[in-house]
Amino acid sequence: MELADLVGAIVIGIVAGLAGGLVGVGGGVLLVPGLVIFLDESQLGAEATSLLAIVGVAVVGAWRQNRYGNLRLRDALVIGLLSPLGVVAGTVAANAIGERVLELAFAAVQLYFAWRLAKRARPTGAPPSRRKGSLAQ
Amino acid sequence: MPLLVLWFGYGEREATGTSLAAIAVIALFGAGAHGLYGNVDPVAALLVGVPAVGGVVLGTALQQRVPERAVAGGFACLLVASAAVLVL
Repeated sequence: MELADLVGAIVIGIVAGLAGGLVGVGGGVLLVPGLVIFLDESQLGAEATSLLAIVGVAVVGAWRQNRYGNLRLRDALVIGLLSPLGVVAGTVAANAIGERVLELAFAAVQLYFAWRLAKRARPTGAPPSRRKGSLAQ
Repeated sequence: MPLLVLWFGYGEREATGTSLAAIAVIALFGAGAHGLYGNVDPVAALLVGVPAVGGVVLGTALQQRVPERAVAGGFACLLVASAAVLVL
């Protein structure tokens, strides 16, 4: 591993965390390409590895959000504990389909998140309470 | 998170924390399942995960202070660029 790749991996980690904390989108959609580009992981390996990295990010993020009163722990645990069925199905599927299909599917997910963020970046995408001044548009 | 907002009538910020906590549990199961297949690289996970934890603490602290539209636009561009790299 070259120094530049090491620095790149650390930077993408920080950026992914920032994105998660700032706009609630981040984590995997940025960590996976970071792992592929800088740490030479396969698409499958990167997606699997990013899950482990995300555990820490999500725990700390939820803990910080809790200080702002933004966490309903019981609901979160119910959703989380209902997930294994989907997780197992997803894991089996990810191992069964080819790398290229995984890459394209992942790019589609990234574009979906980009589209959602772009809507928020436009004035009309703001929540109704902040939209009052832009009715003319 | 969109599910929490639309289905359960959560506020946007309230959904952020609850969604993160659910993701922690789901990601743990996911990492475990992929671990059984030998797909997980723990060293690489630490290498990006530890800086990401720092980033999320900073990001959450800044969330109330920075213009959301500019930030959302910036990350949208980053995602499109990254998707392009992946496809090409």
